Amino acid sequence: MLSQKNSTSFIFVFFLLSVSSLTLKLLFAWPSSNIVPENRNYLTSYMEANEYEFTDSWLLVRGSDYQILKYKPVNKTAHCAKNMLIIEMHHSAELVAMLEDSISKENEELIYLYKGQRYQQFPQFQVLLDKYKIKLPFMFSDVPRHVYAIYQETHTCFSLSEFFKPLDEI
Amino acid sequence: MNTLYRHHIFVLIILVGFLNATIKPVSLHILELGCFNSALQTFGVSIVVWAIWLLIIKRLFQPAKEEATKQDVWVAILTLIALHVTSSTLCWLILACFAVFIIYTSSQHKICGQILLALAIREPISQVVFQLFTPSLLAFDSTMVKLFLSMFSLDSNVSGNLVSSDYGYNLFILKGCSSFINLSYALLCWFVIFKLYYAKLHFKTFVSCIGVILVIPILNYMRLSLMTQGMEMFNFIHGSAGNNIFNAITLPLVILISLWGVGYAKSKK
Repeated sequence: MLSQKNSTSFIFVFFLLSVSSLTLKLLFAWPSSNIVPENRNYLTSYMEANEYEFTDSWLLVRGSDYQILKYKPVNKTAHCAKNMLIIEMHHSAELVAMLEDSISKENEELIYLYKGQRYQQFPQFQVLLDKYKIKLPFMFSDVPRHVYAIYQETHTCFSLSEFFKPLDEI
Repeated sequence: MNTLYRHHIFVLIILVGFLNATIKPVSLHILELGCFNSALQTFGVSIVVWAIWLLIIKRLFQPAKEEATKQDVWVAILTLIALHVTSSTLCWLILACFAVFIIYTSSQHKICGQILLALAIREPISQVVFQLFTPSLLAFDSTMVKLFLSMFSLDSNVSGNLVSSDYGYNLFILKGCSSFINLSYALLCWFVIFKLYYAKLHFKTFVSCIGVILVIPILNYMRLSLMTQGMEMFNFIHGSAGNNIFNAITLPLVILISLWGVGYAKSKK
């Protein structure tokens, strides 16, 4: 049996440890940009140096050499246009390398990010979200031969060819 | 100050352990959907998990005469220190270890310990199974959806976890809506009901378990098949309303099958 003193000490220690563990979790869970100042700096200069525009909620970032920029949206009323972001990154190769683990062997052309990983692995996206107040279900980068746009928590996907046509074909 | 009983310590640790295990996914869910929409989807944590957690807390508060010992206090403090790990999965494993401690040291709260163990171990086991068998599990789901659609003369093509309907609509099946995840919650629910109303598990109790294993995936295939029928249908089925309707159908069904199983096992005693 515990003495009153031990019981009181336990409650005190319990309170301290609970608060500290929960605070730690919140600090790690909350995608604060303060945790990754270098990414914010990188992205700010990048955004200033490049041209960007919103097209029916699609954010097209120009000024890169990736294939997506050779295409123009042709189906602006497409039902998947809402809440979708296509973004080009300087470190696209790095992103694709990280994504490779997530790509199912049967769908090698599909590029997707798992929902829970995006804040941890790609905090620079969070800066974009903060800046433009975009609710972002998914983003992907670089465009290999057959790319699907993934919409609404990755459950539906569409071939980008439904929405984009090469510039020389328009 | 009143006497500190063991169940006080158990409740406190389970409370903090559960918060530690869920705070990360819950806060990300709130960030993503906003408070109201997130609340409509039970903050991204299954309603089964919330219900079982509350049930454990409620049962632990039932009158008990086991007074806390120094051993309990040290185990509790060590658990709280261990809960500082930032991984939610590890927090569930730590809770599972604490459940084992309850099972082996408390005769009055043994069932609560077993239920807590089942609840806490589900998440890490699901993670491991999905790490090992994701493509197979999701491809199996896709094939079953195709089979289901073909029963209604609806053509579809399957490529891995992608189901393409003949009019060009694609459904991409991922973990959250896989039958395995739904089944894991259903089996957890079945286990809890058996522990509460029957306590012992033996061969006869598994009749209803087989029922659950058959019914829940079939309902999920129905749901996924409906999702392939266009964007509007997908939005409805996959949204919070559709999700709540699905839960409102499956959860009572699992409870009914399990209760029937309890009655069946008792009648065969």
